[in-house]
Amino acid sequence: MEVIRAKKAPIQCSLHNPDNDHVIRQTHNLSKLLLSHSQDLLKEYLKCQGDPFNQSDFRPSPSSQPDLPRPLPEMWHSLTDEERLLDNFTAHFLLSHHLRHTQEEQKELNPNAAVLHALLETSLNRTCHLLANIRAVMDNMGVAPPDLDAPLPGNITIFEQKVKGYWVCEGSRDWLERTERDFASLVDKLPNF
Amino acid sequence: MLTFICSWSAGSETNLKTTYKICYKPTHCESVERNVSGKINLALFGAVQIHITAINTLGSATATFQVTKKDITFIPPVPQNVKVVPDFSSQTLSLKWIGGVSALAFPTTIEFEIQVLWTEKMEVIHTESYAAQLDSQNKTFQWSWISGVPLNCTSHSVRIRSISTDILMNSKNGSSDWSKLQTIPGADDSKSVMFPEDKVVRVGTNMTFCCVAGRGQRIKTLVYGAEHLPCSELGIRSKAITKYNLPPSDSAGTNIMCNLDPPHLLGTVVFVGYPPDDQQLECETRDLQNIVCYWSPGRQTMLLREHRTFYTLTERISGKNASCHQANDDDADLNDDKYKCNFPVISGQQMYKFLLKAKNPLGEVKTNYTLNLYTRVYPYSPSKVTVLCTGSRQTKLFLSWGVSYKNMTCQFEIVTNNKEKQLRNFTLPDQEANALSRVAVDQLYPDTSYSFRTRCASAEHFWKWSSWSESKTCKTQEEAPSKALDVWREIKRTEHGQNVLVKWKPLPHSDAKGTIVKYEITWNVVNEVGEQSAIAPVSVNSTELHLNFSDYVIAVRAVNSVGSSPSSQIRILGLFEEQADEPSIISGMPSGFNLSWSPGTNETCGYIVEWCLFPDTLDCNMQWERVPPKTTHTVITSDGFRPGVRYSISVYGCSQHKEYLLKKMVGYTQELAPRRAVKVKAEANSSHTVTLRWEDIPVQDHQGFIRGYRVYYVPQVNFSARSQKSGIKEVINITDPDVRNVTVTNLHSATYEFTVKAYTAGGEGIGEPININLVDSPLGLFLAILIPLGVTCFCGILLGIFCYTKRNCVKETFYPDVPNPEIHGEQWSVVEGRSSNPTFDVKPFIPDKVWIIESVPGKDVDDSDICTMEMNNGDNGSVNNLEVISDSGYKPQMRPHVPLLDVNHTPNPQHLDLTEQSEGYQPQLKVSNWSVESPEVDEASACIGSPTSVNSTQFLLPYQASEEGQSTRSSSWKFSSLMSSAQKR
Repeated sequence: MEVIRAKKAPIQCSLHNPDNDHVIRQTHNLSKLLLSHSQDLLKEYLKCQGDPFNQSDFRPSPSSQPDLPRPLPEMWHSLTDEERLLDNFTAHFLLSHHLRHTQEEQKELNPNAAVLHALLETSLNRTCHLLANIRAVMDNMGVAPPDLDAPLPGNITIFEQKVKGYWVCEGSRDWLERTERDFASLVDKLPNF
Repeated sequence: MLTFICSWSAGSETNLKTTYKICYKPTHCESVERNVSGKINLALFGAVQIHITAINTLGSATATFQVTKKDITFIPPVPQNVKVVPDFSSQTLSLKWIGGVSALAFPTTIEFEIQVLWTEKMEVIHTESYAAQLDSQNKTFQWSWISGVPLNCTSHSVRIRSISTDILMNSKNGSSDWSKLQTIPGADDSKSVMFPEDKVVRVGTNMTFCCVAGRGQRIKTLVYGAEHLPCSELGIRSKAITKYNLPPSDSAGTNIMCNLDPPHLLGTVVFVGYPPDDQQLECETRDLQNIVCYWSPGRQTMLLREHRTFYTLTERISGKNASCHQANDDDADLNDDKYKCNFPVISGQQMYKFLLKAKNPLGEVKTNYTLNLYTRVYPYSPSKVTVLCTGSRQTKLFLSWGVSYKNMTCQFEIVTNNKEKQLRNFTLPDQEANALSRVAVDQLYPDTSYSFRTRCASAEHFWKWSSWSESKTCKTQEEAPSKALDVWREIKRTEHGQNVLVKWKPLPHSDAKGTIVKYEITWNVVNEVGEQSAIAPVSVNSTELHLNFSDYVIAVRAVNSVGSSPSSQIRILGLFEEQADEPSIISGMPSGFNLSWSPGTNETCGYIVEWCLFPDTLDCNMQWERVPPKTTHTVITSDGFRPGVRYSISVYGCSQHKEYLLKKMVGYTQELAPRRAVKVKAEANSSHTVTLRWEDIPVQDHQGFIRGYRVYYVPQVNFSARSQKSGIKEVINITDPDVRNVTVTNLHSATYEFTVKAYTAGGEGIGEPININLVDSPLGLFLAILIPLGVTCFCGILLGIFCYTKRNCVKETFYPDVPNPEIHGEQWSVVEGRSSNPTFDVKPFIPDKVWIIESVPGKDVDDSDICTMEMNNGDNGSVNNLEVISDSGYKPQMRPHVPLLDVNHTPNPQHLDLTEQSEGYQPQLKVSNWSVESPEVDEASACIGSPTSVNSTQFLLPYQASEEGQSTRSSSWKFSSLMSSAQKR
């Protein structure tokens, strides 16, 4: 899946800069909440795509994955906090755009799937909040945000849209696992109340 | 002229150069040099002679052939300029070519045979014939074919040839060569692809999906949804599956997936649905400004969003399109309002012709509707409704609409507070927008709440009623009560006067015509001035007046806020005593009583029927009913009537001066069996007759009219065990209910159970059984015993006296003298060797006579007989009882060595004591232990004694000393036996 790179697109979420310790904890809690939500989203998404998506053994080949950074849990220990924050920011930035594309595609494809649309909307909003929080932590820690281009929706077939949506939902879940772990690590380093 | 090709064989080969000349007309020859065929042009109408001349250096030879039309074969030409154009989206191949034979003098029928092949496998997948007429002009022909397999799946080739089919030609089925293959290449191998992509097809079609692997890749699986279908190979890189009779797909479409090796996922989606099915287009106007057209979508297309149905509604007279935003809005709810379009009314245009087009990727449907604007008016319900109750029997309604309408016909629905509905029609003239129309409604009831709602329709061309307006409620005003109260009284006379309980029935709402607020009671002595009055609150329906024994007129009126009802009067006669006749018995029915009576002589104002609903209670809940004059029957009903209760009903006649008691009746709505048992007393008159007496059952326990009594009696076999009754139950039916006793005769000596049960039309009541023991008289029993006993004793005494007086004779007869044994000396023979002293030789004892008086139970008489021998022992009168068993074997009483005793000789006890001299078993050794007493001893023998007593002077009398007790015991046993047997009996 190719990502069409556009010129620097403004992030579609508002960012602010609250107290860092509080924000780290809040972000950690938010990531936990989103993680649970993302599992529901993936399940509902697959349910709405028809056979064989809704079968338990469905697993498309990784070659059809969109251009998303991988969570790389095996390298996690060797990463610094700053690198982790950058990874998280990049991933959720891209995911927020892909989620929006998926939301629009599913409105066309499954206009009557109200539950899926509600889950996508919630995921999108919370990902924006998460991204704003990560950005705030980065700012407080003096980590410069990367220069990112927003991916554009490609001209792809309906089947490719379905598969891409699957990878987006699954990628969102995988990245939230990683984010939760990263922020749990940061919370551990905070002074106790 | 036709061109013919003539060819021939060269004959035997020579090394010489041979040229040929062909002459087919006498004057027309052509040299064809060394060829063995040549073209000739001629019109073939008959036989033609053709001369072929072969020439070489050695000479020439000519062969002549006669050729007719039959000998010539027509070979059509190969189609020229063959071109194939593919349309990948519709999977269509279009073929174009040119055909024609310039030499043809007239058209000939021809057939083009077209073949489509999968190029890679050179497999013919389709063959089709295309019939055409061929003439001298070159014509362009076209043919197209839709492939079941997407054209990209593999390379397709097309070829074509001509076949002569003209029967006039002697060349049927002669075919040309195939044209050159025209190939449409499939997908290249740069990447893996699936076909077709995102297609929309109709339910029920058959569809083939293919997967084309790119370079270096191999197809592993090809799946339709979750369904694995048979896979066909189109080429080395291409595989296909075919799904027949496609079912409708989900909104997200059906996925077809291709898994490749190395791992890669390909897929495509197919949307399977239906073409539009919209129908029943109908148009109307609600406000004469807009026309609304609506329709039914029919069968769901199963296609959404970009594949959904799009609508256009065109008015064909004006050529304008209607607005169908809502119908084309995919986000609109799928309700009835969705499928409609609005068209603004065109000024001056009354007729409209609408055409609805519904289109989706699978098809289009068109529906027409024509309307005259004024015949399709569906009014709105009134936008404003106001109700004003202006009087007690009429009201006014005000209606208005936001738009203007022409004449309308309308309906009111009037609902009273007790849910009675009434529809009334009215018409409204032309109605301006927001103008108030007033409608009067009359014929209403006073003091009644009404709900009004209305609906209207076009009066000139009825099309549809509008929906009902909202309901408006108002209450009409009150009027004074229109009817007098129904009043009755209950009089209790005391020594001081009469207590009159005046009772009335509340007026029904239709007569009260308002809310009753109180009751006015007035009374005065007849023919006297001075009226007394009292007020009763609306909550009560009676009042008690304490009056003296004068005659009174009592009047009662109901009062509401507007006025009072007409006065209702009753008269009380102070000294009048009601003469009550014996009440007549009436039969009721479960719901009440059907009453009738003889007309009263003074009746002028009808009758009053009076009864108590609860006659058993102190407040009997008196009820009454007025019967119109000249009517002498009525039916009184009440849910309060209960079965088994005795109701007393009085009928009063009403005259101008008084109400007088006419008739009394008693009855049951339903008779039941008496609920209390009859208490019975029994008296045995003799052992065969019993008189039973019983008491009345209290009236309240009758539960019906007593029709009589049934007396049941049954002998008891075992009194103590009641379950063992075996006697036959007998019954006496007494049909006179006044009878209180009965005598039962012909009974036997036994215990009888008597039960008396009263019965009504409702059945038989319960009874209390009573037992009587009937036995025979004891005097008779005694006489039966004593008389035979006395006779027997008397005979015995006579016999005794007779025998005593004739004792010598008896003795001689029965016991002659035994001679004394006298032994003379010479008669004794002395035997040598013996003692000189003579020896007393004792012979064995031989009894003279044996009387067997008793047999031993269990012993056969033949074997052993036990006899009792009484021996008179001289003066002392003692009797030795000896029992002898006359048996040759067992003879315990045989004593061979005991000397015969002299009967007069007092036996030496030593001689009698044999115990020391004998050995073995001697059960009768102690003679004193022997006894004659036995339950089985015959009474006579017990009295008479044994005739074997030789010298007994008392042989006829029992031995007092030894037998007195026995005899007494025997007789006492006998008596007790008799008594017990009598008791048993």
